[in-house]
Amino acid sequence: MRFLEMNCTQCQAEFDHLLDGRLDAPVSAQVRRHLVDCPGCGAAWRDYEVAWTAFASVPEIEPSSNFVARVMNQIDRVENEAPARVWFFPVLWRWVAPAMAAIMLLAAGTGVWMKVQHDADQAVSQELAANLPVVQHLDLLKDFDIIAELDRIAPQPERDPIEEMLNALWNS
Amino acid sequence: MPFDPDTELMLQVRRGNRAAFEALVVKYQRPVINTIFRSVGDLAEAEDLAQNVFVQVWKSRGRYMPTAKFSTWLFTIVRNTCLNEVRRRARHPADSLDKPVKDAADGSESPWQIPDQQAKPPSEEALAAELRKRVDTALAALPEAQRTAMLLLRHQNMPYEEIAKVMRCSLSATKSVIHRARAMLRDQLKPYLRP
Repeated sequence: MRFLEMNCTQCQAEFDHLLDGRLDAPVSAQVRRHLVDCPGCGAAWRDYEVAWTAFASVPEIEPSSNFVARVMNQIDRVENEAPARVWFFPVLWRWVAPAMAAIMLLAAGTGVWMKVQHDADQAVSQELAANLPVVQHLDLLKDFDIIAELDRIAPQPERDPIEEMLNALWNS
Repeated sequence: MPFDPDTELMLQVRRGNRAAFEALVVKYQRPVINTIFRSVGDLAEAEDLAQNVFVQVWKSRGRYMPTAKFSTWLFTIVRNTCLNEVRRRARHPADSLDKPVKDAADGSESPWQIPDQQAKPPSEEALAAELRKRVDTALAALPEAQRTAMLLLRHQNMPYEEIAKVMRCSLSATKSVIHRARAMLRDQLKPYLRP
């Protein structure tokens, strides 16, 4: 901001900028010139500057010698209390949980499919076994593998030892 | 944004670099503690709150974005911490900020407990103590926003633009706050100062 002739209001409006070094050289020179020429503004500036200097001159409080160590110890406690939450949770929720869910779904689906297949096989075997006497009586089957399989899964009839002896004598 | 070494350090902290974090603590411990001390008036409490500020910085490191200078972000946390403490004390009047503390030496009352950390000749020491007391009284009399602006100017030499970000107000409002604060300081200290 640049004025041909600075008035008191304009001058005092620049006190903060002058104090904090925010004025460019031409404006700063203009303000200082007005402060010299205007006793009222000069006195106001001196009060302003002295108060700020007094405030800024109060020494700072020195931190305790172990302050930094205390902060770092507190950081260690924070990290030890919940390290899993810091790094583990995002990995868990983003990758592991979906992968585990997919694996479990696949396993469940495979198990159901295998059970269904097993039950179907069992049903077929039981039906064949139930029809074995009829099949044997008809003697229509020429496929000895099927007959052998049917013999395997069908319950074996109980043998009468006297009948066997008589059959053996008759055949001899 | 121009290169800010503290922002670079904080970006390393974001990657978990503890040495970078410790460097920031070492650098900012004094201005943070002093700023908080001027709000709460007790050094032990100020250090505890400052410790909380730095722990909060560490915990929030993953969310840090270098859109502003690190000091701006840090002192925003500092200011929020001070405001929370002031509100907490308002709910518990036994810890009131306005409760004066008697100075053991001369029996006069000071708004804050001020540790005497420097040894000087008696006359200088008495003058310095008196000035310190008057400044502390004047600062305590300021509204929170004005006190914060003064402390950021004093301890950090923070530009007006950064102060505006910390205080979450416009630049023109910040300039107005600074001007009113300095005018109040001048009015409070003028009887005790020789220009």
